[in-house]
Amino acid sequence: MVRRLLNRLIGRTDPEVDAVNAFVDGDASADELRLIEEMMRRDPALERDLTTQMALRDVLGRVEKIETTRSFTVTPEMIASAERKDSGIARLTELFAPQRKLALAPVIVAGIAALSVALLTLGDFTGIVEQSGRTESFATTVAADSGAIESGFPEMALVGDDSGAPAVEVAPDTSEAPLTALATAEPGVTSARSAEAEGRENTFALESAIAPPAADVAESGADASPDLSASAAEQSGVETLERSAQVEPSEDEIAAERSISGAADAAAPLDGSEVDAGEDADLTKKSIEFADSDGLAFESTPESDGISLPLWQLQVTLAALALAAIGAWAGLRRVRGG
Amino acid sequence: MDEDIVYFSETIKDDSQDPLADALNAELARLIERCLGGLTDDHRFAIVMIDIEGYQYDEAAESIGVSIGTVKSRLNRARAKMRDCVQQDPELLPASMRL
Repeated sequence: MVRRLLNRLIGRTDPEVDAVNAFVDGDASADELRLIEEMMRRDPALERDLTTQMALRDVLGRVEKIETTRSFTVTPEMIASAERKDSGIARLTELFAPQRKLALAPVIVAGIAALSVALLTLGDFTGIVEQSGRTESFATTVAADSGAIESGFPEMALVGDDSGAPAVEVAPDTSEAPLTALATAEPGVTSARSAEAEGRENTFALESAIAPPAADVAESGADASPDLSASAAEQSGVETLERSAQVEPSEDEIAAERSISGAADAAAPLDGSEVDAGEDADLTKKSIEFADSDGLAFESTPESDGISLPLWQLQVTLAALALAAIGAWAGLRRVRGG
Repeated sequence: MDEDIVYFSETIKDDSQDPLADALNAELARLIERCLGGLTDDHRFAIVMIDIEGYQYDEAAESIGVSIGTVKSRLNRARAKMRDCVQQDPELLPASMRL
């Protein structure tokens, strides 16, 4: 029954049907005659049916035909001529006609696509393949978004700052801006406007952070000449300008995320300069303790052993391809009227 | 059996002047026409093109626009239906075609 269904699907007949037709036509081969004999053994009435069909065929061949003014019979030459004038769609349909070699192509494509979807799904369940595009920043941003917003750690907003508190006092909004941005943003995404505001305030905060050391230098070097203090202030101002020019919204996003996620990364200042091991180590330690005490989930992307693929994208694409191939095959059959 | 077949073959196409033969031919032709009308379009096209017009299977398949296997399958069913239909008027049929 399955074989019959497949034969019917691709437009092929049962061998028994071929044998019966050939027997009635009088053109049966030796194999077909053997098959007919076997069928007659199974069904004794078949012999009488086949004899009647042979006689009916002979009668039909002798039916008087009505003479027409012209022949309405379609000849192969007429078909060939019409095919040359066919539209592109008709030619495309003819390429996939049952007697052509491409007849099964849509079905094969649909089958391969469906099998690929099944294998990808199975691989996903067993862990052989996994979805690509999972990064640490995503994981940590999710962790920050879920648990870190309520915690107050303003001192982590600007790191590498010796004074710490003055930076917060000078720019109280700075501590809230990155938190606000993270609270409102979707994981891994920060709005441009909040980033821009963040950048401006960070610049202001940086200036303030840099200013006290310069002031300290000026104070400690009270015996120094005014020129020295002025030059130090000027240098700090230049540095401020450089740093503000370097700070871009995207870097601030990264810095804000790092400051929330990992103390080690947060310990690195924005300008990439090396940090004093002593004082910043304490800050780092305090950050870690603070983070741990608050129960932040420092999620890290587990090491993946599977093959990383754009899994769901592939599944959707292959499923759409299978559906399109099946639809095209059904449409072609409908156009042909088969 | 052979005599019956010869008889009805001649009733279909008969050059003789026998009015009875002509009448029988006409009756049989009407019967065949009625049975052909009772077939579906697909079956009718297959049996007309191959058994009446004398086309080959591949020619008929290309004309109709289906596969050769489809044509053979339709012809097989059409012949079986024609056989069942013409046996409703057995008096017009030769003995070999009656049940």
